[in-house]
Amino acid sequence: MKAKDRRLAELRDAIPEVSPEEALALSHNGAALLDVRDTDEVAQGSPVGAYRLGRGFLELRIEDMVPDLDRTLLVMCAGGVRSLFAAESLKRLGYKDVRSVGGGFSRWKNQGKPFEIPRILDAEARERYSRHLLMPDVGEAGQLKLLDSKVLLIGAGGLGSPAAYYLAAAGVGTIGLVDHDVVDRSNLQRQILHTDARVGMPKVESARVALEALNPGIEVIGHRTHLDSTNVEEILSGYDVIVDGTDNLATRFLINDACVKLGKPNVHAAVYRFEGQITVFWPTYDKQHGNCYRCMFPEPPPPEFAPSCAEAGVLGVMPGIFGLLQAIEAIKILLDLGDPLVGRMLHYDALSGRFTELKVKKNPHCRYCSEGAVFPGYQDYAQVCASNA
Amino acid sequence: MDDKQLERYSRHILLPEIDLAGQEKLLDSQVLLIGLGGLGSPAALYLASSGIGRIIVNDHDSVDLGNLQRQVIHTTLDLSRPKTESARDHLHAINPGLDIDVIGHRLTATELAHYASQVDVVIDASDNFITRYAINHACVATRTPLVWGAATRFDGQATTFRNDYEEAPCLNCLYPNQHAQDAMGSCGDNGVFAPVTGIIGGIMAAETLKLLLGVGITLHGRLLRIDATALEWRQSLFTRDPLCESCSPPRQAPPSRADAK
Repeated sequence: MKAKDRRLAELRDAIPEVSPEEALALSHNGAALLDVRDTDEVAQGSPVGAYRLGRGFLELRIEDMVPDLDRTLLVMCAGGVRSLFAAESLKRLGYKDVRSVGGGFSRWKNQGKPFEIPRILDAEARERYSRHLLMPDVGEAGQLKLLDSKVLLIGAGGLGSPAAYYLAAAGVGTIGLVDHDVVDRSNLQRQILHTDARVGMPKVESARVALEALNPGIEVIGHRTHLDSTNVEEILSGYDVIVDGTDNLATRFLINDACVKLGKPNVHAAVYRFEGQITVFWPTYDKQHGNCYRCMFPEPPPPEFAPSCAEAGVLGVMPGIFGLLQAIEAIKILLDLGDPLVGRMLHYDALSGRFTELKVKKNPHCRYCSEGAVFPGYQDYAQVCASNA
Repeated sequence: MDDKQLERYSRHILLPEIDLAGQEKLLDSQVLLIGLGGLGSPAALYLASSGIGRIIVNDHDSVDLGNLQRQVIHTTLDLSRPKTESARDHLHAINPGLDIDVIGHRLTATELAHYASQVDVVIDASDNFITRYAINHACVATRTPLVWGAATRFDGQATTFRNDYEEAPCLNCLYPNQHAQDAMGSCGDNGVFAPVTGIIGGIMAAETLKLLLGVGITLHGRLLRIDATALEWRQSLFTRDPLCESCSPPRQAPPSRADAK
């Protein structure tokens, strides 16, 4: 008798075995079905609803998937042998009721039990996103979700540059960019998507070159246009999250109104000189009451009170910091992870090196986002600012 | 500054705190950036776009696919190139007028001290505590301000060690136990949320610019920490450890930087 056979005989005595029929019934009653085969085997099919965790990282990651040591674990491999070794290890880890599915996945499949071809990342994506896959809060399911997601960046400038770079790096599958401008040399002090050689090129084109070089696996859609009330809904409606990186008041009101109407989360930031602020406008957020831009500023100011549209100075890295914070919030919303900045406005003053947070309240009488409000329609969003003179 | 430079830096020059003189100062500045990974990528890009005249970049690694999830200074075409070369190309592409010096090997203690004494600020964007302590040692010895950051999973932190001050705490005052710190693990073991490295690199660039311009209040004696899941920032204060092995006894007079330039 070989050593391995001796060992298997011991394990068969120690680990209870269940049939596919019993395993299916137990899993309907709350037991966790755990497929411990390798990735390439799982790719050919795996029981519906099974946890998938290969033996290589089994002990290290099982608690992230099944934190309750009292929950019954039904371990499955291809033929019912490797699952015995895995089951024993799980018992030693502290799981109290661990059983092996006899005959493994081949018997499961032959007996007509439900299975699916799971969507999994290919080997290249697995390597590219390995630092995300290591994190239980993202993992393979989260990475697949990001690859299926669509984020629209309005403005491919100071805020849009770092936001686009990090959304692309993180593997957000579709990134839309709205910008009508061409790259100007004065942009290069902070708009890191663009290069000296691309001065004069439309920003959405320059951005596409940079983003596709970083991550050829994502789709970059350029909208080289000004947003206005006639095109805003058509453009925004195709995306899951809207990132407002505009530099003017008129467009901010327009984006707000469209996001309220379409129920889209709006990750909003603005920078000025050495400071900036960021918040998430999301009245339909299901975990708490979110507000919209008009809860804070009900109407655009008349021209004589509006801020000047003349170019203002800004420390180069300020839009960088706020565009990055926007990327963090966009990805959290896509993954439904943590607490987004809904109802909170974060302010950073680079000169003092301090972050401060303000609570932002929903206006119960807001014409746009209060309960039962009927969308009042888009206004005439003429450029709202004092003359440049 | 010529006309092209005036145009390029116009948004800085409009700020009274920077103005022409401040931008000239940045163009005359020199920094040493160690690490061209998650923290170093955004820091380098923003220091270059801001017009830091000479940036010495140091990394002994080459670009691999797993880097591109967060290291935005490199591209898919740069795979297996030395990170220093990939970074230099990108920095020159966004700002051709800068001096980008590359060092593609792990710096010895002697070399660290040599380069630290040449520059105005050292930026530690490395990913392990052995390197961090070596950089700290060199910066304490040469009294060079050190901008420091770290990130793992959803957490990041940054501070500035004002080695140019008489009584400033150093990295070893903040984190005295090297072994305990290495046990914390790196992002290679624990993973890291892509934009958290970016935001810490951005804060590090902001600290560097403040040091070079002499404006604002740096993170001297303050550790800024982010929890990205809640998007909350916390600040904790720390002071010099009078028994610190690295920065006590009292430091010597700073060497003259003018000679090195």
